[in-house]
Amino acid sequence: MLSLTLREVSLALREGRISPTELCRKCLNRIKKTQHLNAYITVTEELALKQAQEAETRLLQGADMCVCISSILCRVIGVTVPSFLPLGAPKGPLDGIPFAVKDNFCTENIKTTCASKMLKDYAPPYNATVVQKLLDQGAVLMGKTNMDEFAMGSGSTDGAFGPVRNPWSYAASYTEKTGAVPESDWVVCGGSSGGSAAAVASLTSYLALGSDTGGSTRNPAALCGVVALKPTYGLLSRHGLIPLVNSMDVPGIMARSASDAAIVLGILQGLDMRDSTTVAAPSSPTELPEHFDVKNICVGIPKEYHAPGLSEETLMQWSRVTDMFERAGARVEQVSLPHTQHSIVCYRVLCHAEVASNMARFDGLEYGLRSKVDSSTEAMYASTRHEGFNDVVRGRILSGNYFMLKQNYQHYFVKAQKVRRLIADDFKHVFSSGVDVLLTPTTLSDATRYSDFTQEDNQTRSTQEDVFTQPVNMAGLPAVSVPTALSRRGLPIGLQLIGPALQDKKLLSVAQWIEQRVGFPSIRDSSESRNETGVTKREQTSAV
Amino acid sequence: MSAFNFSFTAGRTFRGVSQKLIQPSFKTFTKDRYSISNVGNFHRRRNSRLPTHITNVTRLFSTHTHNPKVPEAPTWEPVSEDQLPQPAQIPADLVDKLERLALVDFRTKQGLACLENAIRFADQLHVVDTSGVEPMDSVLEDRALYLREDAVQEGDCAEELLQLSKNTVEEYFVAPPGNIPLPKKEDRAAMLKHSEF
Repeated sequence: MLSLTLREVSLALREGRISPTELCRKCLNRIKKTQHLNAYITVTEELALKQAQEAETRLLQGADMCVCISSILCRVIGVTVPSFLPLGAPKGPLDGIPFAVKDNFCTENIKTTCASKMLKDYAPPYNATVVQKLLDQGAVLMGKTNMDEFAMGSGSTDGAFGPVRNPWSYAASYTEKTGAVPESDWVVCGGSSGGSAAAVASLTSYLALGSDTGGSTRNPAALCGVVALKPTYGLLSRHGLIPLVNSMDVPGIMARSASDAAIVLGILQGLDMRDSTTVAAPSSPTELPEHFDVKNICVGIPKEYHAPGLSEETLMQWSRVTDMFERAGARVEQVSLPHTQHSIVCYRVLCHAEVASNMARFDGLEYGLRSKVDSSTEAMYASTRHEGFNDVVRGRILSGNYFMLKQNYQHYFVKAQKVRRLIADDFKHVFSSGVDVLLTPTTLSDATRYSDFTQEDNQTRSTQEDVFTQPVNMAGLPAVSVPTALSRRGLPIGLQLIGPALQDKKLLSVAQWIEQRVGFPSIRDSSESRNETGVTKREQTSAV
Repeated sequence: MSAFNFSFTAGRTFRGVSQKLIQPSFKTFTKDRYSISNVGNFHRRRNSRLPTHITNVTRLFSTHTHNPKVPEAPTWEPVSEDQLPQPAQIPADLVDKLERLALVDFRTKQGLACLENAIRFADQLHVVDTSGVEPMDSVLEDRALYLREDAVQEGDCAEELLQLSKNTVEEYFVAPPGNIPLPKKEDRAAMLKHSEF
C-alpha cells in the first residue's frame, strides 16, 4: 500500500480498501522505522491523525453506496474507474493522502525552522498558500522535512538538525552491488530538499513540497529516484515560502510519478493575491493523456550539458532515452545553449546578492533567535546573526554584500544580470526554433557517499552539483526530473526535461512517456535487506 | 566503482577555477565494447580489476551504442586562470566594512578565504561579452503585475505577531539602545566569544 502512487492510493481510499486513519498510521509507523534517515525535523503525529479522521468522516458521508455502485458499473461496462468520483463529500483526489512539506514553508503553529538555529523555535501564525491549498483538499500533513540550512546547499548535509540519509543507502541494490555497510557508507540525498525526497522515496508520504532555487527539488529527486517538477516561475505562489532568491525561487513538487505531480500541480497553480509575482495558470485538462504521441514533438539535446565531470553512466542514460525518442518517431536534434558554462557563475553572484538582502530580516527583534547581548541594537543584531547562522549562510551573506558594494555593483551584480539575460535568451531561441522539450542529465552522477561528499566545502559542491539545474531557474522555465535507471552502484540516476514557460503539463506528459518505458524499479523491489528484527523488508512491505 | 571514482575525482579538479585544464575524455568504449574511463592523468582501468558481478553489468551496459546526437565528451572546459584578471585583495578595512554592513562576522581566516574564492569564481563573468545587453531583473519583466483594489481585506493580527518576539512591551517590540556604533573589530571578537554559540 505504501509504495503505490498517489492516484492508486486515492482510488484505494475511495473504494474502501483502506481507510484514511489506517493509511495515516501506516505512514507514521514507517516514519518511526526510518528515523535513521533523519528525513523529518518535525513529525505532526496528532495533527495528522486528526486530519485523517476528518477525511475518513468525509469519505463515509460521501455515501459508500454511490461509490460502490458507480465503480461496479464502471467495471461491468469495462470503463476505467475514475480516480475521483464527484459524488459525496470527499474533497478531491488528495483527500486523506499523507504529504510532507519542506521546513522552509510556513505552517500555522507548527515549528518552521529552515534547519537553522535562527528559527529553531519559530512557529508561524499562518500557512503558506501552497500548504493551505493542500490542506483545503483534505491532504494529511505528516511533518516538516529536513533540508540544508536556509536551502543553501546541494546535499542536505548542512542543516542544524543533521544530514539526511538517502533511503537507497539501505536498499539491497546498493549494499549488495558494492558491499557497502550502510552505517558508514550511506549516501547523501542531494539538496537542498533532501528530506522531502527521502520522505517520498522511503514511502512515508505520497507527495512532498520542496523549494527549487537552483535545482533544490530536482537534484535530490534524481538521487532518491522520485519525480520532481520545478514549475514555471510564478505559477505557484511563494507566499509563506521563506525566501532565498526572490527572482528564482519556486515551490517544487515531488511525487512517485509524473501523473501524481500533475494532479498536485493542478491544485496548487494559479494567481494568489498575496504573491504579486504569480501568473495565471494556463487552462488545460488536469489529467495527463494516457498515451502521449511523441511523433509530434521535437526533442533538443543541448550539447553544452555534457559538462566536465559527467559520469559515464549518466551519459549512457542520456543516450539511451534519446534513442527511445528517436525509435518512437520523435524528431531529435542537437542544439546549443552557448552560455551554459557561465550560468553557474552568474547564478552564484545573483544568489549571494539576493541572499544578503533576504537574510537581513533575521535580526532577533520580531521573531526567531535573539542573543542575550543587549549593549546596543547593532551588537544584538550582530551576535544574534553570529549565533543563528551557520558558516555557509554567513559566507553567502558576506560575499553578497561584497558584490553589492558601490564599487562592485556594476562590475559584478549588473554584469551577472546581463549574463542572466543571455542565458534566458539562449533558451528562448532554442524553443522558438521548433524544439518542444530539452533532454539533459539532472546531476553529474549518482549519489555520493557522505564521507566523500563532505571532503569538499558546501560552495564547491553546490557549484558542481547545480550545473545542469540552475540555468532553468535563471530563465524561470519549468523542468522535470525523472528517474530512469539504477547505476552500477545500485543508486538512482535521473534525467531532466526542460520546457518553455507555462507548458508544465506538456512537460509532465513527456515525462510520463519516459516513465512508462524506462522501467525504473521501485525501492521495495530493490530492497531485500534484513532489518534488526530479522524480517526481510520484502516480507515487511508486502504486509503493508 | 570506476564510475564513482570518475565522477568524484573529475569533480575535484572541476573547481570554480581549475588550476589546470581538464582533458576531454576520449571515446569511452573500446573496440571490445567494455566501457572504461580516462580523464586527464588517471590510469586506464582494466576490467580484470572489476568484481565479476560488476563486469556482468558492464557487459549489459556495453551493448548500448552511443547516440550520436548526445556529445560523448565534455563540450567545454572551465575558464583557466590566465583568462582572469588579478585576484582581488581584501584589505582589513574592507573586511571591517563588510562585517558592519552585513552585521555578520567572518569568524575565522577560512571565512575570508571563502570570500576570496567566491570573488575569484565571480571574476569568470568577465570573459563573457555583454556589450549591448540589458540587465535582467526578473523573468516576468514582459508582464504587468496585477494590482488589487486598495481596500483593507485582512490584518488586525498585532497580538499574534507580538507573540513571536522574545521581548515586547504592550504593542512594541523592545530593542536595545540604538545609535551606538558596533564595537571596534578587536572588541567585537570578545563580545561574540561571550555570546552563546
